[in-house]
Amino acid sequence: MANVLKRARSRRRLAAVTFLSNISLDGSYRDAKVSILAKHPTNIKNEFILLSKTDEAVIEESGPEDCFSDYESVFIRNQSNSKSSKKQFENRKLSNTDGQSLSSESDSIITPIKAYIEEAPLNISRERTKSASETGYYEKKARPGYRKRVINQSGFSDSDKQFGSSSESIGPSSGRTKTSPAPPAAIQEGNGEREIKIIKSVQNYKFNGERIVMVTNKHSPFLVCSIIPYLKNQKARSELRKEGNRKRHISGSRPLSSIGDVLDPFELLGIEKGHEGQEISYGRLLIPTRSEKDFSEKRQHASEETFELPAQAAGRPRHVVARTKVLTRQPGYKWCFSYDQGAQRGTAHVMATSPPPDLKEEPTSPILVYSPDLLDDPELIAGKHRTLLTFTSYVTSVIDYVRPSDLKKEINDKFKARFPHVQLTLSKLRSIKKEMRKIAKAETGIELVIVAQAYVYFEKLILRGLINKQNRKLCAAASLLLSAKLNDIKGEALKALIERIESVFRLNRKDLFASEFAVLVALEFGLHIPTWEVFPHYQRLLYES
Amino acid sequence: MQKYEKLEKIGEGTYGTVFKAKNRESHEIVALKRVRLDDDDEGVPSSALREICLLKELKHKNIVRLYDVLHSDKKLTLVFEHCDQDLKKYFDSLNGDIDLDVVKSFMFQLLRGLAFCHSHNVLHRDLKPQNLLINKNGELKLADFGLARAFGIPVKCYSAEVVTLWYRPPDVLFGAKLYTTSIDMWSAGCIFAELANAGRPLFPGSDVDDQLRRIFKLLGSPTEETWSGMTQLPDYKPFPLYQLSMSLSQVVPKLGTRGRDLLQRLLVCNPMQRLSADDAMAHTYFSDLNPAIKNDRC
Repeated sequence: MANVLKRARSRRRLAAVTFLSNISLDGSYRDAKVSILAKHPTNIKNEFILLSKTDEAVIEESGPEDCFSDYESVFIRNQSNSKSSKKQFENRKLSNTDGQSLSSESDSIITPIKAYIEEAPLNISRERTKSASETGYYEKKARPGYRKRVINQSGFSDSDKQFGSSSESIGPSSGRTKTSPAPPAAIQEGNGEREIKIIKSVQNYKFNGERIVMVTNKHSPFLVCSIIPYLKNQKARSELRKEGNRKRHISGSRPLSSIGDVLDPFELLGIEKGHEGQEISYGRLLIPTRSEKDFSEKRQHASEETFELPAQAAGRPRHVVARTKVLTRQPGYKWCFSYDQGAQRGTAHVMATSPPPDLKEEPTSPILVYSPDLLDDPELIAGKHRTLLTFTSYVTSVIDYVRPSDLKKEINDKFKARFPHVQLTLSKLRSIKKEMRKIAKAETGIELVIVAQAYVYFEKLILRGLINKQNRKLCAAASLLLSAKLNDIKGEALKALIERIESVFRLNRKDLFASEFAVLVALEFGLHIPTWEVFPHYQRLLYES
Repeated sequence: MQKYEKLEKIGEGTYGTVFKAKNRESHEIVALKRVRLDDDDEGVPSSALREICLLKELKHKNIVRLYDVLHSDKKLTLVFEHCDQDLKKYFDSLNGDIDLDVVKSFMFQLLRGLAFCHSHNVLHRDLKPQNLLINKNGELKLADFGLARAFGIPVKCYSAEVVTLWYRPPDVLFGAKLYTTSIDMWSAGCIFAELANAGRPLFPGSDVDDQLRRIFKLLGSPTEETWSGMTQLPDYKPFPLYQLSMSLSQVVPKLGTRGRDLLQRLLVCNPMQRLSADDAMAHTYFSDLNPAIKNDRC
């Protein structure tokens, strides 16, 4: 009797294993004849979660109905399987082992097989280890023909996908296996340690790179899912490959001495500099930039408004910086329109109102109009991955998941399209701004309004196309210093700030001070700016903190 | 070949030497402020920065003009419009007697310059006779913007160490770190009284306490009722309750009723109730001002 029960259980076990093996990683189950499981009444009342560490699925063509009926039939079927390989043999053996392990256990909880091995009769574990090592032997031998066959199995390529590089899947994979040994090695491991865990309680279980099958207490599976581990370095690897041989310079790690030896802050900002002791007159820069109206008007919500050009450019067409978000029904988009479209419309506005030939004729002419949201557009965070749906009573947006690197690239591309003359990516601008804020945060008395004002200076320099890789940190640092000085930071507080700037931006004092005046000139001494230019930055800083 | 020929040293400023000089080409007389840059401590001195950046935006008949900025490796030279004397020197030349029309004219020009600063979001923060320049044509100009700053976003990072003691308002004397244009209006009131008395300072205090005592003795001690929030100021301390002991007619005997009324409205301890520059210019005291001065705009 006990034997019969044992058999029944092992059959169920086997069925589950086969079922699990039949599901490839892409979620499709190839042989859905699982109803048989439910036919067998069982003592086990609890729900199980089966975990199978299978990276490759066994491919089965038209599984015969009786394939689940018996333990032996799996043997037969596997042997008759046209694609049966060493691995499937392994698989079968493993099933065998599993079946035994199950039968030897009491009815409810099945612990991971590793734990079982410790208690199990020696011969079984020996068998296992032997088979595993055999596999290892074959794999390590790595005869090209054999390997290729293995790789081309769809199951294998699925597992390949799991390693996060769709670009290096089936086609070039055979070549790749030779060059980069990491993924095959991982697969070998997967082969060797293939196991099924049955757990009852998920409370203390940490899922990690496994396939999960949830079954009812009648053992009918109702949910299959896989947890694909997010591996940062793998992503980075594929990223790197995609971008070709692009070298990343981590600007923070530049040696201190290499900065400033060759750089002249004046030259970098395109400012003429006097030779030895010669004085340069900047009287031409002392023309007032603003009218009284500019200061007195309380324009705080800059993004909602349109700005006129200052007096000196009044002859030109008006710039309209504001983004116009028009929710219209468009035939192609039905009721929804992606935000992207709106953003592009905004861009088109900015660009179109200043005639393109004009831009070409005077490429050095700075953008005369500054708006706090122009450069670092706070809306430029979601890209095309956001879809705005407007219904009669509410508006909702759908934000698809997107890889951060893709999003970053897209946003930077969009930024580049808007400001072709800016030699800085939006993400770099944002990271520099973050650093500026970090400096201020650590110092007492440096209020956010000082940072906000420094942002305006820095962004104006960028809009004038003066910031490049060599001078961006110097100029950001100088902007912060200038802003602090105009906001009553003096004495010890100023000294502490300068020291902090030196350490965070890794600059030396001499270069900082040289840049300070250069930035002052590049900004045409226009450090006295109206509140509406600063306030939006200040609000954003307040909101973020 | 230098563009300017130094003629004489005028004075020593907070951050450098001031020379009278002549433009070799136009023979125009200018004032040069020399700022040394070889000090590796802080870079460009903030007072020089303020003068350059604020005066760039403040082109007005009653504000000293910054003509040029000369820069070399070791020094920075600011080229200013030259005026013959400052108000302090002018007082010294008076021998205690002043024409009341001159008082009115100077006061009006002071207010007009101030109104212009304030409309451009600039606080002068160091108004005193030494910083008001007078030229031969009787024009008055605000000078020395080394302590000036922009205002706008109300944050408490303003320095409380501003304005020469005698011209410092009671709120700043109590350590207020958030102030606005009213800070300059108090100074203007003090200067107004000094003008009317031909150069006798109104509140020549020896320290902060003495300064406050002098103010309260003349105007009566403020209370939480007349000045709400006073007791919350950082350096607040209670003073004896002085009653109004003498009227302004004793303090500024030469000034008429209208003039005294204007002075009274400027010298208000509660900064919220102090008259603004624009309102002061519209005061009836100036209704009989020489139209040539009144309409003489930048």
